[in-house]
This record gives sequence, structure tokens and C-alpha cells, in this order.
Amino acid sequence: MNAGSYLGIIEMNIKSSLAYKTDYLLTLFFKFLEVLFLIFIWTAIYLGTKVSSIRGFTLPDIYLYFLVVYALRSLMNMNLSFEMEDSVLDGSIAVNYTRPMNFPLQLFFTGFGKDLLSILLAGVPILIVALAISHATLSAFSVAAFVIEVLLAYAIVSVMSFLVGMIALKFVYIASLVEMTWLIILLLGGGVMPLNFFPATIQQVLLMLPFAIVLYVPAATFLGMISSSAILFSIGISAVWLAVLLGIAAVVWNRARKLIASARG
Amino acid sequence: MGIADSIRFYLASQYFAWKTAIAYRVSTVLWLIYSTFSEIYTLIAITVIYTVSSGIAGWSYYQMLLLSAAATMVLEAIYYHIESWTVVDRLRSGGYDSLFSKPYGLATIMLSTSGGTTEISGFVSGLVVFAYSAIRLHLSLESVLVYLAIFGIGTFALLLFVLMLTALTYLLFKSGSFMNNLLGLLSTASSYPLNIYGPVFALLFTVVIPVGIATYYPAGMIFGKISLEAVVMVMAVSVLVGMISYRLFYAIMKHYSSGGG
Repeated sequence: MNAGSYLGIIEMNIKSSLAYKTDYLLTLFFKFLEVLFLIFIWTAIYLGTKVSSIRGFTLPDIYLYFLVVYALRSLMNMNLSFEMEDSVLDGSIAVNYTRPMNFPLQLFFTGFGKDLLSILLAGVPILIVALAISHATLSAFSVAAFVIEVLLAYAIVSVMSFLVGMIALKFVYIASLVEMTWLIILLLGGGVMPLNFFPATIQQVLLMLPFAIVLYVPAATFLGMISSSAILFSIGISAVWLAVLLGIAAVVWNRARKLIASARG
Repeated sequence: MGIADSIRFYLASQYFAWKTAIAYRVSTVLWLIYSTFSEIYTLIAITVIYTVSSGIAGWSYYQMLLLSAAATMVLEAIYYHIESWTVVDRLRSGGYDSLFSKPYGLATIMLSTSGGTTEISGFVSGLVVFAYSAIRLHLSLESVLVYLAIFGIGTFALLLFVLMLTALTYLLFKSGSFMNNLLGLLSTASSYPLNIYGPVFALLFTVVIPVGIATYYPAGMIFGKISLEAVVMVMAVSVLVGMISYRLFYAIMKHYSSGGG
């Protein structure tokens, strides 16, 4: 199957997102408000603690951290799981499966098509604003590392989302699992607070898990709060996690595929 | 139909909802776990915050736990009665048509048949954390009862407000996305003292979106941060918000035309 078919899926999903403009813009607005409230909360914490820095983060660092996290959250999501649940619920999974395209890739590009607008309308502009505010001079290494981290993070979240989505083939209604997975990613990935704030031992464990790369590592790289060796270590660990998750996804999909086939008779 | 009939309808609807939940056991168990997990999530966040810092000025760790647990209870009580995003979908598809033909008030019908039964576990886990925090704070039974009374009035007012706003959302956007996002935001905002958001947002969360009247103000009163007079005023606002929301809900629903024709 040629790449044109997948480009078609991306185009279709961009159009579909644009068809629900109000919903789309409202969601982006509320995501921004959510980050704004985190900033309020952390401002109160810093003022209450009366210190200039907590675990290496000053208050302006925290503002920037959450700004970058907001930009990253505009492209990290569990859309694939919901797509999967919907396609199982309305039976379209059988139709999509019979198309001469790889089904997991169809799903991936469906999600990517929906995320592309968020990346362009929220992610990139917010990163530019964060860069302007921070007066940071990113080295070529930081920029390259940041891009690799974001790509790895997007791939890891997509595979996780796909894996959770596969559960729909067995239990159909999986929204609770999807939401729970997202909360875990947010908490353990630095969406609620930088991982530096966790006790040292827990922090070490979290940095070994695939969640750290989703928000914390790219945000810390962007802010220059993480050493080059730590960046390389995180990229390496995340690449291993991605390979492991892809392996699991391949095994699960091979079994799930047989399930779909038997259901169709 | 009188209040007794409405209560009977409410109880019968709850019975039916639980029978349905039991029919989808796996899904129900997963949702029960998720609702509990939401409280654990907040608990972890607050614990980490108070480990690395002094936390919010004037609020001890257990006071913050109590406030966030109360916020969870309020939101879960609302979700138990009305899941706004599904209500909008049902209104759009005419899912209430047969119910609206029953001889009960529209508010009674919607609040009896639109909730998520599994939210009960979130409410219970919030209650457990609330009780634990109250014990650690050595709160008297009297204080807890006063808190729960104000909390009850505030929650009821907020419930009517959410019902009205859900109907308005249907009228304006025909989409549940707005309410879904708004309630998610309220869940975060109400877990912390309102004064940290500045005067504009504090006023917003007291009068316009009255989430504070069920959480922040009663907590502020029993911890001696807010005067009794202020709380009495907030309670008066609660009653007013409830009454206005109720009236507005019916005014909005006059413009409702079913997707079913």
C-alpha cells in the first residue's frame, strides 16, 4: 500500500477536526486554563514556602516548565484507545480491517491527523513563546535532543494507547482504563510536577520508566535543567522501552487479529 | 406529582441504574477502580507537594487533604447524578423523549436518570480521606456536622447549576465537550484554596461557577480562616444560585426540541 493512502487518512482527520471547530478550540482553551491553574497553585506553594528554589526549580522555571508541558500535552493523548473503542462499538473495525492497509498504521495516522492541528495551533506557538520568555539559547545538541525526545514520546504514547485500545476487543468499554492510563502518564511523566520533586529513590525509578520521556525529559531539556549525559541516558532508555512496547504490541495485535477474524466467521 | 412521588421515581431510577451497572460487571469494576484512583492521584500530588515544600501558606497538610477530599466528594456527587457530556448527547439524539413524557419534573427526570453509578467509589474514597483528615486534625463532631450541612447545601446548589449549564450548553453548542472540560477544570481548581487564584477567579468560583460554596468556604470556616458571617452570606448565595439555576433550567428547556422530532 502506498503512502498516499495514509496521507489521505491524515487529510480526512484534519478535515474532521476542523468540522468541530468550537469543540476543538474549547478543548485547547481548557487545556491552557488547566496549566494556568497549575501555575497559580505552584505560585502559592513557592510564596508559602518562602524559598527561591525548590529542588533546583525557581518560580520562573516552574512557569516555563508548565508552559512547555502544555505545548507537549497538545500532542500527547490517548486518542488511539478511544478510536479503537469507537470502532469496536460501531463495528467499523471489521470494515477497516478488510481495507488493503495495515490496521495499526491506519489507527496511528488517524490519531496523527487529529494531533497535527494541535501541534500547529498550540504546540509550536507555545514553544516559541516559551523560548522567547526564557531567553534560553538552545544549543544544536539541545534542539536535536528535544526533537528526538518528542518523537520518541509521541511514539511511546501512541503504542501505549494502541495497547490499551486492544483491550476493547475483549471488554468493549475501556474508557475507564484509558483515563486511568492517562492519569498515570501525567503523574509519573511530570505533568503534575517536575520529577525532581519526588523523593530521590522514586525519582531514580521514574527516570527508568517510559513515562519520563513523555513530558518531563523534553521539558527539562528545553529549559536546560538536565545534563547531556542524563539526556542521552533517557533517550537510550526510552528507545529500549519503545522497542519493548512495539514487541508487545506486535504480539498482542497478532492475537487480537485472530479474534477479529473469528468474530467475522 | 408531589415530592414523595419524585423521590420514589428517583429511587426506582437508582435501582434500575445499579441493575444495569451489575449487568456490565467488568466495565463497572473498572470504572469503580478509576474513580478511586482519581482520589489517590490527588493524595499523591498533595503528599509530594508537602514533602518538598511548606505547601500552601496557612494550610497544613491535613487541612489540604480535607479540602481536596471534599472537592472530590462534591464532583463525584455531581457526576453520580448528572454526566453532562452524555446528557448533551442524549438530548441531541432524543434519548430523553420517552422519559420526558412521564409525569415528573424535567429536573427530577434528568437528575434521576443521567448519572454515573460508578462515581460512588470516588465519593466513598473522598469520604475516607475526609474522615481520616478530620481525625488527624482533631475536628469535633460538631464541626464536621456543620461542615457537612454547608457542604450539602453547596453541593445541591452546584448540582442545579450544572444541570442548568448542561441544558444551556446543549442549546448553544450541541456538544458535551464544554461541560466535560469545565468539570475537569473545576476538579483541579476546587482541590485548592480559592484565594490562591486571585480575586477574579475566587469570585468566579463563588458566584458564577459556585464550586467554592461547597468546598472552600465551609473548610475555611472550620479552620478559622473565614468568619461565620462570610459563610452565612455564602450559604445565602448558595440558595440563591440553586433557585436561579432551577428557574433558568426550565426557561432553557422551553427551547428544547428533541432530535427525535
